[in-house]
Amino acid sequence: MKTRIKELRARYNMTQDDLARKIGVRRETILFIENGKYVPSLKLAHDIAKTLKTTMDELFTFDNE
Amino acid sequence: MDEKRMFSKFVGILAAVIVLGVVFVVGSVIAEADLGYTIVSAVILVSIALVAIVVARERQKEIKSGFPHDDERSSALKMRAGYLAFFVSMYFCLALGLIIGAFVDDSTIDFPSIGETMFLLVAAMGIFYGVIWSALSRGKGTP
Repeated sequence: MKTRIKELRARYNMTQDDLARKIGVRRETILFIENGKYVPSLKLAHDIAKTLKTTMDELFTFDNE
Repeated sequence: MDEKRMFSKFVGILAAVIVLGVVFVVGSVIAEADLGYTIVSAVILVSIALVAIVVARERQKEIKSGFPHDDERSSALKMRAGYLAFFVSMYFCLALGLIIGAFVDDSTIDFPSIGETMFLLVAAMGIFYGVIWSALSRGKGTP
């Protein structure tokens, strides 16, 4: 799984801590999602996309796509 | 339940474990129980209490800085670590039983009582859980 979270965070000048606080998760969770080591639930993916003002489709791509 | 109430509950359980441990060790000494077993039990109880104190301090820091101490990834980690610890403990007990049955002469060794064995096996299960959780939380295997 690949994500554009890092890129979009940079666009909005947001740190991993800021994003984690906004969506109510631990900072490590954001770190692992960014590195493709943890696949978030539909709810969490939706919350991240909403916070970064994008869609889930834009945010996540999978290797078999 | 909010974070502060959960933390208070955790500290309460930790205090109860420490008090029970002290009562257990003092009781064992007064009852003149097997010294080796008393020392091993005390070391295990102190280790559990120390780990719990470290975890409590970390949680307190997280609560103060506005992070939840539990989210979907940490819950998934705990579940996976519990599941794996159960299977590792089961195979550990089976292997131990087979080795003792096949290679050890029962009559020459002073085996611990059933109570002592139960305590040690549950403690081993706790240690397996801690090691597996630690490995998973460092990213070795996505939950």
